[in-house]
Amino acid sequence: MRVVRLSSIADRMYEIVLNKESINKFNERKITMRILFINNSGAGYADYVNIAENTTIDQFFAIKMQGQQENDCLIRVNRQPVPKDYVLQEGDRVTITPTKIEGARLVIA
Amino acid sequence: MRKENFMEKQKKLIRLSNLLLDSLYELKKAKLRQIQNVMEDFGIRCSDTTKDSHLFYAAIERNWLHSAEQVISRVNRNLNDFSYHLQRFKELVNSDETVLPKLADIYAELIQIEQEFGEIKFDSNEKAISVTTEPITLNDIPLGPFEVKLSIGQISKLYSDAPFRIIALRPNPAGSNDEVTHPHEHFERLCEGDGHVSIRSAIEQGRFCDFFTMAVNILQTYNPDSPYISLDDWEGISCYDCGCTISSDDCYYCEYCDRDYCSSCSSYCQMCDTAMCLGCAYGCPSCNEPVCRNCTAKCKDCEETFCKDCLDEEGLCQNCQEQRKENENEEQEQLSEEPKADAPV
Repeated sequence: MRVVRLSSIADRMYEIVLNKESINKFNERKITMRILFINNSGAGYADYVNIAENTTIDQFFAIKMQGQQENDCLIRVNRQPVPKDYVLQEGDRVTITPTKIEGARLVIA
Repeated sequence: MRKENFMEKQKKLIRLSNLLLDSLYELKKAKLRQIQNVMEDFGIRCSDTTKDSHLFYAAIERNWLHSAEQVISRVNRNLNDFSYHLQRFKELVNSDETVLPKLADIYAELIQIEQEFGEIKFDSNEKAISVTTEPITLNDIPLGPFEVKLSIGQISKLYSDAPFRIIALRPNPAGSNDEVTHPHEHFERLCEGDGHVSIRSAIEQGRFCDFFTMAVNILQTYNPDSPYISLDDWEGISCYDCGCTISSDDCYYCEYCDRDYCSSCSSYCQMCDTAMCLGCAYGCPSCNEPVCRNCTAKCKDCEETFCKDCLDEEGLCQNCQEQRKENENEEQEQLSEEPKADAPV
């Protein structure tokens, strides 16, 4: 009898967890948005990425450019400079270009 | 009037956008032609392998085992080339397919370039667009402003050559080489370094403002690990012989060939102390000391050149002096022997 009760409690908890996961996924699908991200550092990167709603440009930089300083980069949203607390919108175009790019000596083979 | 000027400017920008879009189209065609060439090459190798397979089959059917072994060794030799061409073909085919931008995107790029850099100049003769930087100073050395010029017609050759040049507008070139006006520039070619891939990617995708931004940022950044000429040596002079950079205080001027040399490539005359390069110095064959050409003279007998110190008052070198003495001694001996020969019998 106790085993049956424990088993039914376990089933119920399993259902709750599953539902919670479904709800989370549903919420996640609902609160992300797509922006175009162009990163001109290193080999370069230009593609669409999904970000959470209400993400500011400051937060976006911290996520995508870990270890880099904002002062060392030129940040443009839709080709315009924006304040740090600018909240990104669906379809925005974000470009990040490092201000310090090291040149080299031309080597002629 | 203002409205007319504005409309005229917009028309120019739109025409420029069209030119840039056409050049990107040509660039895409060039890339596809490259894929086509590699595909054809790969196809030829496949057909060679097919022929070898038919020969191999025929050889085995007729029990021509030696011929079959020859076919195998030929196929074996070609396998390495085959895998290289296959890899190359795969890389080209799998490389990112760049989508051509729209005319409106390129127009927006030009507007952004104007906002970031001020005026865009369009050279209708060269079909090039350019922006001008602010005066650049690196490590307290003023290098002046630079013009970054993108040649629209050369964009289609992006994969084989750089379609842009860097022109110094108020050059302060390196002391050892007039052609170097920036530590990362030579003969108007920018050494892109870390920016090489991203610059090419920006041009390919029509992000011209990003291209100009990165080019200017490279000019404004000094990489002391890999400059063409280091800023520490910027004010120096290049030794005409070995090419090393020396400060103006440490260089020696050779008045005979009118060039500057380092201490290792120069010497001084042992007679008159004039500085000269090793090429203009003359080593006296008698004393082996370096002398200048003004302090040399020819021996009157052997006509070899010596320093003036090694010639006597009669202008003879040591060897010729000794030779003369020997000759004189021989003559004297002969003269002393002659009277004995004439004595009466």
